[in-house]
Amino acid sequence: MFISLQEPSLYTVKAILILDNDGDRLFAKYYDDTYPSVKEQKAFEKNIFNKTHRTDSEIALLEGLTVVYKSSIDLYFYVIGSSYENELMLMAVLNCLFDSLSQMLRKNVEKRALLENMEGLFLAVDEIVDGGVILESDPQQVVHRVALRGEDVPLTEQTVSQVLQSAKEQIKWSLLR
Amino acid sequence: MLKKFDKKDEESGGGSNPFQHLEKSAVLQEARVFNETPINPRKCAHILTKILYLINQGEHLGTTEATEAFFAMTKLFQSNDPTLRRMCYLTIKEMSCIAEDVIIVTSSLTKDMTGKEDSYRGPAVRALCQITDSTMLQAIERYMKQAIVDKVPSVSSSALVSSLHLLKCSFDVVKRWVNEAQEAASSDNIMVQVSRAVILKVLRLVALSWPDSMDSYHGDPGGPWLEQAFIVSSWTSCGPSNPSQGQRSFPRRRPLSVTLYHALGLLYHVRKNDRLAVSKMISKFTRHGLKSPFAYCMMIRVASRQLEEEDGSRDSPLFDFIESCLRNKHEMVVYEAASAIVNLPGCSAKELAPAVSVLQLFCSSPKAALRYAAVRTLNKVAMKHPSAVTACNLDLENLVTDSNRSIATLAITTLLKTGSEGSIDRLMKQISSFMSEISDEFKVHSPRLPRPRSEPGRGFWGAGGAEGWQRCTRHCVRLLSSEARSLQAS
Repeated sequence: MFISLQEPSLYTVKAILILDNDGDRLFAKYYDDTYPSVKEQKAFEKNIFNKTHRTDSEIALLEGLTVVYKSSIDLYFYVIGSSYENELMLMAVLNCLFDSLSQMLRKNVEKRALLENMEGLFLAVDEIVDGGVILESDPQQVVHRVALRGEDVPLTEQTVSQVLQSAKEQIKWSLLR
Repeated sequence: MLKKFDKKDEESGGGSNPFQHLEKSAVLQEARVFNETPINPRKCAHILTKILYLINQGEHLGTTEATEAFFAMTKLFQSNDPTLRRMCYLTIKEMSCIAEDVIIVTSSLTKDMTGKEDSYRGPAVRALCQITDSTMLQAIERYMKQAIVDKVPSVSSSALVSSLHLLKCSFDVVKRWVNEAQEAASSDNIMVQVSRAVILKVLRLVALSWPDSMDSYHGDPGGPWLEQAFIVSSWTSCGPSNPSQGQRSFPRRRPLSVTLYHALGLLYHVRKNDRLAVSKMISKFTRHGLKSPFAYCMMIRVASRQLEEEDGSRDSPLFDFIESCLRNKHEMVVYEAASAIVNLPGCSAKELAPAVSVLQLFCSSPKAALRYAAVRTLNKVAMKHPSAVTACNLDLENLVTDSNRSIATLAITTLLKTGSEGSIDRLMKQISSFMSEISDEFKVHSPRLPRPRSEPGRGFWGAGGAEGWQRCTRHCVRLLSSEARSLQAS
């Protein structure tokens, strides 16, 4: 007997995870209560890390869930969905997240850069998936909406020290480029 | 671009991980700086980031300390720094369940969602809906209605998705939106036509929680409102470049692809009486074309749900639509269509054939996700119609040696259902090399696998002969089936 079609729904993503080289959590957002406690979540993370970090592949069925993943230098990105979900949709979310971060981190998608830009990460994920519903799949749009500009306060409203501080930052950035 | 920490933070943060030795009470103590004026946006944003990081790591915040931090954070709305404001929204969302009296930020959020700063509006809507419960929803209802019909896609999408979440607790308010939306739908005002697209989306929300309500709209004089809304929704998917001119111009800006995706969720809830309307929808859609692969996928799911309920013929335009999606340019859509067809009950082998051939093509894709999706679906087909999958045997055999273990295992279990004797022979040869790679618990505990012999009259299993072959086959099947079952268990 064929399994009856799942009810068409916008709820697609169960979780988005970013783990480091040791399988420790850098970022995790669970959108339903598949793993309700932190303990269960971390056990799940350890399990999928162990099963995936040595392989090159991008997809696996683990603990009855579809896991799509991608790694970069010392980071591992995961998008989790139900086993009935369209795997390519999950890949679209993963690619959107990865490409957005890649732009925001200037292609330097590695742990240190990510930790120095956690605001950007939090905001990017917030723009891509909301409560398990795919909000946006175009990395350009995500980057555009996350565009963080902190220096738009007119000069006259800043104190002298703030102006000097921003000037220092500008110089630092221009040297680093 | 994002800013690195200033020197002071680097000195205090230290190390390769600036969050490494964060201690909850110290961080919450730092939040007291939010009360100072003037507000230092970067410093405050950084503290919020630390708080969010802690929560993200699973750190437990008690109600009192969370509420204190939340109240301190509300002071930050005095600053106009965009980054800081966005971080405030995120903090509101994260703390909505752990702090008390979070509704005090309602007025700040409604101000932002109706303000000039477009980059604030979408996130403000989402934050607002996170803190709102059914008692407060009435107060923000008019803001939500405005946001849903907003021209800015991110605002509209945010409002729609938030409304979807709120459906769980506030059906009555959504019902009210529907009535007003229907009034708007029957207006000929060109400005209102833009919002017809979103009416479709609003109706979906009702249908999601109260499917029977859709019955009251049948035979309604404003009746082809669904159709109209539908056409306009596809028009809106192109995006009018200047609605005030009352002209339909074609895309100069990016289509509202994801918003349209949300709209289509409605269709699957239209009841049997509306089957004709749904068929008309689909034919109109295919004429206008959908920009978004997500919208197509939702469309396919809706159509196949309808077909399943119809329990009827494959001559239906619904089936034709799904079948036509097999030729869509987006792989996501092609796969969704193939998957929908094979899942339809009572499909003949002839009807399955085009879907199966598409899946066969995916088996040789360089993308692991596609190969996996294909072999998983073929495995399902093979359960009911093994003969339909026979044509794919060679491709499946190639997948047995795939580097991805899930793919390899699924390929094997499929082949064991669909293979002929000759192919099972080849399969066994491949399994023997595969076996050496997998863990001991799955190894065959039978006589050591002999190498192929060329002696006539003897099969691959040499001394064991045909019986030995059968024994080994059965054993393999048992082991692999149990492994496959544990992989597929869900």
